[in-house]
Amino acid sequence: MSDAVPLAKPRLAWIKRDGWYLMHGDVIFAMVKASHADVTHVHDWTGLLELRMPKSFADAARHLRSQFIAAGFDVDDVPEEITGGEG
Amino acid sequence: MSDLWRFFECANPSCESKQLDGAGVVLQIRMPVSLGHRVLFRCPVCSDPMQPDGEVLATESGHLPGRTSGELNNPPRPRLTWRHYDGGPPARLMLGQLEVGHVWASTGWVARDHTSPTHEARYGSGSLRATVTDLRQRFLAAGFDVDDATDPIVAGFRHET
Repeated sequence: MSDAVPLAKPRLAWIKRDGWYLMHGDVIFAMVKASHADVTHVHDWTGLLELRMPKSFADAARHLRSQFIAAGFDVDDVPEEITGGEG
Repeated sequence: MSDLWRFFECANPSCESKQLDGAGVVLQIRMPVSLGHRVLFRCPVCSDPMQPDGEVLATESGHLPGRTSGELNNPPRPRLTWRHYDGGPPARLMLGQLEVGHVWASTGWVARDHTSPTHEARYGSGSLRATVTDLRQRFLAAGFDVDDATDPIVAGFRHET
């Protein structure tokens, strides 16, 4: 049997819960969550990787998005609700 | 293959992350013990190398590409690999450390795509090979690059079927 030819890269969407989650269908791939002070936690379950980042929540979300884009995913733009309209 | 936790810290004393609470960025990652690629992690804040720097660490083919400084290959599609269940034969379909699907024996062969919980197909009259192939094809069609480990999987189950 020949392999199926993909029409597009796997797509990750931002879903808001107690933080913002990057999901493919019903599976959580990663999460950005604000903590105390200006610390943002980034958790990537695909690599069991955790980061404490002094970056803003929006910067952390953009960082996570760029990581998954580099890994070959098609990742939705960071929602305006995260960026606050800063782009 | 056993794993261990390793911790990396930003080596740049001027890194903005050090201004936060003195701790700076801490990267925590679980890696297999056996040696593989040379991996260099860079601080997500200042891009300087993180410590321990230059250490030869282990990765495996399922490690998410793009996670490092680029010393690993960067295939165009995310790669899924097959992994054994703990204490048992295959098969878990993994993206790095995350299971996205599995094949298991129930009353028949079961293929589950976790990204779509409504998809659980039971193949009471089908073969293991067909079930593994079905799951692989689903993820190939979704745009993943999926290892074709059908033969090892079937062999792993051989004594139980």
